[in-house]
Amino acid sequence: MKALKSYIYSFSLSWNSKKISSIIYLAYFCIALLLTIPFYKLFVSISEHSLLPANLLQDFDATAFGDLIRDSGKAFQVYFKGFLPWVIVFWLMGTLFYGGIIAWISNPNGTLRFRLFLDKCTQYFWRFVRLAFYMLVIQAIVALLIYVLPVIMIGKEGVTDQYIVRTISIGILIHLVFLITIRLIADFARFGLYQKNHHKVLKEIWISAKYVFRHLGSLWMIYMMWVIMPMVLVVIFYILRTTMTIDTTVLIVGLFVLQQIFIWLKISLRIQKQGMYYKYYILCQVED
Amino acid sequence: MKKPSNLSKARAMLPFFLILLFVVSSTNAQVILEKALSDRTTSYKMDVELDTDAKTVSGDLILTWTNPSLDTVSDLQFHMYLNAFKNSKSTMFNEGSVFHRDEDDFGFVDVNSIHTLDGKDLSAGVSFIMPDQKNHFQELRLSEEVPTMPDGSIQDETVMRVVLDEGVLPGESIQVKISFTSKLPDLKKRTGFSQNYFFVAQWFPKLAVYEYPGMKSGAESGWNCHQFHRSSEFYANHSLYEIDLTLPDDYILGSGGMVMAEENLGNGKKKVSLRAEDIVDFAWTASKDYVVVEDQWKHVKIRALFQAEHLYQAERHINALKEALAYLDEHVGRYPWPHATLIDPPTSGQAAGGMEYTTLFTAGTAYGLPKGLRMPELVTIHEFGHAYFMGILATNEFDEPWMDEGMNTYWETRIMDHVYGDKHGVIDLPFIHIGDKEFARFTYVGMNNPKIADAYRPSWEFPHGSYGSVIYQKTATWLNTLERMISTETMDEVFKTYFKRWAFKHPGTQDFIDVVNEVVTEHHGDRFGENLDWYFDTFLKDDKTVDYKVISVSSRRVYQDAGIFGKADSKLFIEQESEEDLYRSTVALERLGEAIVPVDILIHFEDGTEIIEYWNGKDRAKDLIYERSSRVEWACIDPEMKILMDTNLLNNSVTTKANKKPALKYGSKFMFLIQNLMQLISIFS
Ligand SMILES: [Zn+2]
Repeated sequence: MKALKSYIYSFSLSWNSKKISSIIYLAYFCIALLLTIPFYKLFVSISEHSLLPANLLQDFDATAFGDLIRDSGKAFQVYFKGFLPWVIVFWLMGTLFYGGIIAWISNPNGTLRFRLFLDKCTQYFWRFVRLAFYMLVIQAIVALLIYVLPVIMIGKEGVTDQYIVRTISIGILIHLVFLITIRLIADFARFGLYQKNHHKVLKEIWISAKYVFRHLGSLWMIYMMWVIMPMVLVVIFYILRTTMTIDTTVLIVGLFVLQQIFIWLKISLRIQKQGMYYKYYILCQVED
Repeated sequence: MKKPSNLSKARAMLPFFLILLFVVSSTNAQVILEKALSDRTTSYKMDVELDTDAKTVSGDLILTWTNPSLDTVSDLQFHMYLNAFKNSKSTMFNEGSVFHRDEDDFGFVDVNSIHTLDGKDLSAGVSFIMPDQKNHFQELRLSEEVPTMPDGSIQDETVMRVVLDEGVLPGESIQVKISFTSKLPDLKKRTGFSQNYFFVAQWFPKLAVYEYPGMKSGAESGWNCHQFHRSSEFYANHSLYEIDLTLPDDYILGSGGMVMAEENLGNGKKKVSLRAEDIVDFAWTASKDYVVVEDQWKHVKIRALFQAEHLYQAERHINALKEALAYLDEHVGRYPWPHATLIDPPTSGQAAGGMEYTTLFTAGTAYGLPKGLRMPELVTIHEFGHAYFMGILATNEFDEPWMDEGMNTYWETRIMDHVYGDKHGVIDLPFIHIGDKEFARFTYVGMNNPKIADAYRPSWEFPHGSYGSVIYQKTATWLNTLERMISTETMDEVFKTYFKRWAFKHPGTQDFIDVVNEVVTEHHGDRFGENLDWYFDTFLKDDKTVDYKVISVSSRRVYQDAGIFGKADSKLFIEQESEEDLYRSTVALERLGEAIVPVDILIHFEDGTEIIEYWNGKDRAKDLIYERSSRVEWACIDPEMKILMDTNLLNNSVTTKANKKPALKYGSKFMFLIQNLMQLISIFS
């Protein structure tokens, strides 16, 4: 019942969180744009006066794409080689916003003040970074345990590729279950750190782990209910992309808008999920 | 009255007819083809047994060789391929790392005895020679002892020479009986065993090809017998094989021959009599786990041996094979044998995959491969194609690898793109697709150094692992370019003529070039020059690359004559005035590559007019100048994209009207990718 209540509640929360979704979206948008502008300029400089890249408009064209990349391979290479620092930036950004998100979902009826949002983001940042780091270590250990066996088996004589493919597929499935569960633990550990406002990250992970396993059935149920929406979103986007030919400026801009709506919805769904879990967390506390 | 007379005559003739019928039917039962397709210079009769525990194949072999030359031949030379797996001193292991560890992993072929069929012992004349070492490590030695090498150098035993007491006279035959034991290696490269799986190739002492002037272009008198190199394949006569093979009765057998008889020996063993005609190599495989699928294409009985887990892909393989049969039948020539065997090796035996033995070939696939990734189809079509390119047209894979792998890859690209769609042949997924011709070009032009080597050299002389890209993909690309230049119809005519003239013989490079020159001249006169030797000199025998570039397209108004004209007092000043709507457009072209290929240039004017120009490409640069009422909008070299050898097609055109749409599209794609990546990474936040 609590699970269902939280799930239903999350929709109205998500609707009321348009502003916060937009703030986070904008932050991501700015960074993505910052990275895209030089890419676009580079692309323009190598492609605008040749007829060949036009082949890329109707459909993918391996020859046009290949020659374009090769012609300016060095420039593109520099671009992709410097990507690892950005991955870390994205990871830190994801962590940064949690403070603000939790502050908002714990008091959604208040007015969203940008200043407060930023304060909460920074107030909890280092705690959440530590939490994220510990969770990353746990994720790595779990992945190692899941995949080490099939990898050892691959070299063995008499092992068929069917066996390898099936074992790895099952491994991925198991990994997915663990991934979602570990993320649940991280989410509830963050709620604990926020509510109690302390710095004992490891202790909170332990409390959260116990909590998640006690409520595993309900939490998985609401997660499964929630996940339908993102999946529907992906399917709709996929169908649109595979049926549309993007070859005019209007269509390219149209596609861009569609992509941005997709990203915005993804962020909005993330907040919905946090809100849903938080509601469940509160309902349980009220009961206790 | 006539009737009784005829009847009595027929009765009298009956015993004769019966005998004739018996003779005809009994020979029919033994003969696969209506008539011999080759000279059958060699034939092998064997009685061998597979020992699945000891991993050996041993028995007797009777070789019959007829001297096709005008020379008296005083020795025989054999390929002892399995000795490449004997120890770290073999040429093959020296050209790469040794991939075996345990004693059981190594392989070899031992000659236990050798004598002529009339009993003369030849063992005293046996030695191992290294014909390929003369320019590399040491002088060629024809000693009768195994040469003793200093440490660290090669001591290869893959070529066995047998000096004969009496030479074989022209047209005469010699019959030699060899008792041999072949220990199969662990299956790491084409042949051997993997637990209870056996793929048995290059497994017996195999006679080399005796070449002589007139046999093929460039042939000189003597044995053409090379060591087994890491990246070389084979060369052999079209032969007749009659093999009695004994093996455990629970093993399923696949071979390049047809089963003539099968007898259960009662002791858990069976004896299978196999026969193959006019093939250059006989390979076979045995395993308990094969699942047999049979099908038929016209006169060809298809037998496919699959792994159970790949059975669901049987249709993909067999359809690809049928497509290849049909396409090559239509465009090159008839596949003459009534049988073709497709082998799907197990995961642990993948080293046997993707190999060709004319009437038997190995495919290669993986469980769970999506339909849009056409690896099973590509490997099937490629390996079957070798039935033509070096099976029927038995070129020398050691010395002229471009003639089998290159030509065959060309046909593979044609078949793949024809059957599965142009630009969709190899990969056909929702957001990405690549054709086989595109893939071949992509691999060649994408090489770190496309000029690293010409393709006209022995297979083991390609530096820095360039063998594959130069021999397969570069050759396929320049043959595709040639096809686009001379038209598909002419190209088909070239290959049909080549097939007619050289099927079941041993053509050399110049023999193929001669056919091209003949057919192209017949169809196109001197449109491509006196002949096409220049084309082969450029792309086969040299490492030159093609790159044409439109440097710029510019236009300016044309002005009437202006300035001071006349002398002394009669000077006249005329003011500069522009001609009404007249522009001078200049299209600047350059040849950046060393290779010279004639090209068309399409010039497009702003008013929509288009003209095609021709450039022989001989000069490094060329300007095209037009004075017209309309300006040139764009210029494109090779607008029909015939010259696939051009290493950069992006610079083949210049337009004055900038088109930012592709950048916009890919810019938004890139941004979307970044945004999604950001979301994905936040999973771990
Ligand atoms: Zn091949």
